[in-house]
Amino acid sequence: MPDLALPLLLLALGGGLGALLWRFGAFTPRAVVAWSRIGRHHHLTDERPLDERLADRVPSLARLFRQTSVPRLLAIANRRENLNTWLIRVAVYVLVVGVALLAVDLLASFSSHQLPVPPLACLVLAGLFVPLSYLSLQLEARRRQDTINRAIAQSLSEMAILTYTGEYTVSGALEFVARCHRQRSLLDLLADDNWRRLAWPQDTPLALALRSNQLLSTVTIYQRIGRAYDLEMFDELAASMRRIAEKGLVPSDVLTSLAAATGKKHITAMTVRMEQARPRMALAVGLMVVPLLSLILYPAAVAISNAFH
Amino acid sequence: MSPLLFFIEVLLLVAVGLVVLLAAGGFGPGRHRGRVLERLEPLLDRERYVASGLGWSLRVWLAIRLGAAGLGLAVGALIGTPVVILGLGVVGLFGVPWWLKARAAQRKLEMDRALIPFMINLINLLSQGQQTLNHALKDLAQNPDPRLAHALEPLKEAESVSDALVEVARRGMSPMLERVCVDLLLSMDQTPEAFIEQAQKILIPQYDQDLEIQARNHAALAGGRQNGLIVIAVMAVAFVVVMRVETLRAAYAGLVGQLMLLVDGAMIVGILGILDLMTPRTPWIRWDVAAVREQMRRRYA
Repeated sequence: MPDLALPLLLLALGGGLGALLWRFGAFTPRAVVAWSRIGRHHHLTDERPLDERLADRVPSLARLFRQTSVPRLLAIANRRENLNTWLIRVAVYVLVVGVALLAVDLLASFSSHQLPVPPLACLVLAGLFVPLSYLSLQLEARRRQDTINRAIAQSLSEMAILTYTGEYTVSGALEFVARCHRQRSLLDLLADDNWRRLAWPQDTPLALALRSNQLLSTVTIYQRIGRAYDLEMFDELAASMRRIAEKGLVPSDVLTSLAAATGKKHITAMTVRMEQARPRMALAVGLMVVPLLSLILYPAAVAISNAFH
Repeated sequence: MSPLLFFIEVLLLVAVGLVVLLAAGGFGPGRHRGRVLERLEPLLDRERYVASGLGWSLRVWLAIRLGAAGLGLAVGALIGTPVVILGLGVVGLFGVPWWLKARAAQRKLEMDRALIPFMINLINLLSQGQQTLNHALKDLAQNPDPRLAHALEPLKEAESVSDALVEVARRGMSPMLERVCVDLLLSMDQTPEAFIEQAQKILIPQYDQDLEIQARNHAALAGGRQNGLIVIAVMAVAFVVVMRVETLRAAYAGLVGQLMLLVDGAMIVGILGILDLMTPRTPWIRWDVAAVREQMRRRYA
């Protein structure tokens, strides 16, 4: 069978080059390029990325794009890098792992005079680093969301004490407690307007609903943070603050009730998790059969093999 | 020259080029150093937590861990085979602390349980109307519950109650005690009447809830540990039974046999790891009590 590796590699490289040229407009007619330039200048074209435009047409895709968007995950995980930096870093890791695997393959070939594993397999193995990096980023983002939610949920009583005398507002109390936590996740989000990375309206010409320099109320900001970062506790706080403002409730009373309700919800969730974990743990204990059988059956296997020899 | 070597060189050059591109974009390894330290901190904190739960200092606790590992290695060396040496070393390094951690967690839970009566006593003292919060705290520290005695020691002779509360939190190393210290610091400049109302309305119900979560956490961990003990006990009995039969033991005398024992050991460690991962637990937010004190001082500055 002829070796297809080289033609496939050339095909992939050619395809990649073609896609790159298409992306940079090499195949776009000059008239279209000129019109795009004029349209951009007069804010007549839709400059949003492809995924956003697609999401407008297919709403179910919008959720998928939102959940899997790398820039969004980077912002939630509070990583300073942008999408390009992240991609380059992952590419470096893939290349380093690939080089290491190929080097081991090459060293192993010195004794047997042939490569034990095809080089393509080494590259495919190194390529697995891409999904792993993505999963790790997703995990980091989820952990930060949990930490921030927990930081607020477990500080509601302290916020109630601070607002009790009326010396602090709810947002002032939240900033106060954020500065007093050992984990800095909440403070990192609130400090230096970091929350604007996701929760700020994009300053695009088509987003005519809001001016970019419009002053926002704390309730709106918390709501936006809650929605953009998927932080349930910011939504709860925003709803409580709205109740305080609209019905004239006492902030410390509202925060105390919220603390009690959050605690009860947490205890219920914990009970459910414990019940769910019970059969899974029994299954894990059952896995003990594998080393047990291995311990007992290995001497038997050796004895049988010796008998045949 | 091998074409593969040439290909490796090309890939290496591309990787170096990308690294230069990253460096030019201001992305350097220096930013990772802080993150590594940040990731190490919870590990150290966990060791400090266990040490304080057992009533020891971190140094003593680490010495015991290393001593147990050394003892395991020494006993293994007396028995002889490399796998047994390695196995007993691992048991010393991880098994003994794992067993002691249960006792540390139990003692911490007991300490946390003593916090609610402590707060009730504080309210009772303040209700008599003759003392400020500072004096009441000092009074309670003179004759504390034995479970809280070690943690409350700094309050006995304290000149500044705020500083003493920071020290109490540092000694207690319990999230719930930290929370109590933070709440007391926040309430320090209020009138006793306001504190009593807050404590009855906000704090004591909150501590009750915290304690329930702590107790559930403890029950879940105890359940996970019990499952782990079952696995270890069954495997230990099977190992002893196999090693006592001459024909079975002979199979494990060779290199492949020793490797098989290592694989079995790794599988058991893996099962214990899976059990640990599956145990549901609620992490607690840790307070920087010194930062609370500073914030309170800055408020009036």
